[in-house]
Amino acid sequence: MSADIAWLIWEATLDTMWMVAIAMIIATLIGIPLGVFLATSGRGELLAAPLLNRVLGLIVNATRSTPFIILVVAIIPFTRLVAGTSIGTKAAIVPLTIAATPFIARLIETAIREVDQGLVEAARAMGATPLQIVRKVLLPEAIPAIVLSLTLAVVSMIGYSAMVGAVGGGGLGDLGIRYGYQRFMPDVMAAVVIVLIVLVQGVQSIGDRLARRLNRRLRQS
Amino acid sequence: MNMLSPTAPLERGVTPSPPPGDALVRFEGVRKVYPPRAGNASFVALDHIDLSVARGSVLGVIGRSGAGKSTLIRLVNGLEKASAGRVIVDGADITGMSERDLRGVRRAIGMVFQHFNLLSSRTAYDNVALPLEIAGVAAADIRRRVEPLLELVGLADKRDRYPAELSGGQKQRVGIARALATRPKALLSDEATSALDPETTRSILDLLGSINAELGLTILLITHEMSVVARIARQVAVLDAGRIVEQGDVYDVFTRPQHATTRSFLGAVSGQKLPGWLAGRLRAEARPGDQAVVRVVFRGPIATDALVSGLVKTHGVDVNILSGAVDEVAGRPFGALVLGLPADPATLTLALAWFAGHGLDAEVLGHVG
Repeated sequence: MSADIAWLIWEATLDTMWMVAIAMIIATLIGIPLGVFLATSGRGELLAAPLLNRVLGLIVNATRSTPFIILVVAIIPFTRLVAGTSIGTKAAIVPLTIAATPFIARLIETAIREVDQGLVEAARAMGATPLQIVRKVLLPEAIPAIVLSLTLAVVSMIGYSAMVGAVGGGGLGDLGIRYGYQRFMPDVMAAVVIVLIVLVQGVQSIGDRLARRLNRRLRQS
Repeated sequence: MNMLSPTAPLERGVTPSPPPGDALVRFEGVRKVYPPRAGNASFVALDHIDLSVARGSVLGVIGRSGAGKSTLIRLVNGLEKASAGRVIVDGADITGMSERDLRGVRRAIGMVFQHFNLLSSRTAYDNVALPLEIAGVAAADIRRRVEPLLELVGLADKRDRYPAELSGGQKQRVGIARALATRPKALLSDEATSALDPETTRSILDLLGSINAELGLTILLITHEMSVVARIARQVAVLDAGRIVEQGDVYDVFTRPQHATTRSFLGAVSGQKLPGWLAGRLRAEARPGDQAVVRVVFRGPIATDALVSGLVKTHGVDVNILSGAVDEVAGRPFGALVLGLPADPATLTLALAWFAGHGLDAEVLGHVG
């Protein structure tokens, strides 16, 4: 493999990490509050707003049920509006963010719902407001699960980011398709796959380790 | 031996409520109905609840699971809302209160839970600090409050431990310290010892007892264990299928239970239930040569052997001790002896009169061969 190709792989790796990082940051900032709201706004719940809960739930489901590759194409006008272009790494961030947000929201919702209801009751008995319960009980108690959820989301987004290559999105997926597939360079294809495996492994182990360290339900050794 | 003097007839069924002004918590004709859900009919959890918890007292509510205990205790801090009737806490009717006002009420009531409900993400110290943070207390004041509380419950050396690193008893001590953090007027104990072993249960109950005695804190506790009520409470209410079937002074209720539910709770303790070998052979009619089985209940300190030997010596009656148990209820001894006595009417009448003369409740249960 020439130095040029190695350089290409390196650049594509940075592109992928950049795309996923920006998409994850934006999606997390929106997804966490959205997930908390979905978990607490059902009928008779802490922040009961059943109607809004249903509407947001529908939007989340609709986005989640659209295959990612369709989503990428379908929102091209929106992407162009936001990013100024519909091809390249910058443009790819838009559909990635839109796919990641509802995904993260559902994961966070599950993490929050896993928190022992007894703790919510204890906080209510102390005279806590709903917002205090979210801030001081639900989020801190769900932190290990939230870290694992975000890890899962990063891994999924690395996979999705390969798909935006199909529409000129840049990154490792793009490289694999253009060089590995269209130019019949199996060594590039293999290199791309190996880099993706290493990336995913790395993200997963960091996430697992962090979640374990934050989990106070386990005795720390 | 003044305990042996005949006691005044008990007024039971009549609520021995303190005067209204003296009650910290008062239920007036409270009813709680859960609306029908998923094909089930609506469910009456509590009905006709009249109950008072006097300031500084310890009231135990005992009942089986499903009797409505949890609902009852949650009505006090508004976690559940009454469907009818009034719940009055420290002079204020909380039944119509807004959620915002209720939060103020809740900050003046501590609560401890069966499963502790400690935040796993917080240390013992931070768990005790939580209600103070919620009440908006400044960090320096929180520190001044939390440290003595950990001291009080004997966990000063565990302040930086997470709940996962504590035993059940230690967790409940943190729970108690947390419940006391905002200097509440009342403490609600929701089966606080039900998840603990007997020894830990005793130490937790003793801690609650000393908190009641030293801080004058009013305690309302619910439990399904008679021993818990006997150890710490002075007043008891027996809850059965959503209604209070018996209430009053613990010693009176437990030593002279009127309702079947109360009796079943007392069970084998205090000789309320006959040993199996005896119960199986008991028959109502006496046959020649039978012994009469008599249960003698003694309330207060009494020398059982002196009692029996007295009967033997003064009347020459043959006495056979079949079973016996002595317990402590509300700090006073209480027990029962099951005796076999000659079944002939003259001797039996003589013996019963002798027990009555000593202020003891004696009851012929039947006969055995």
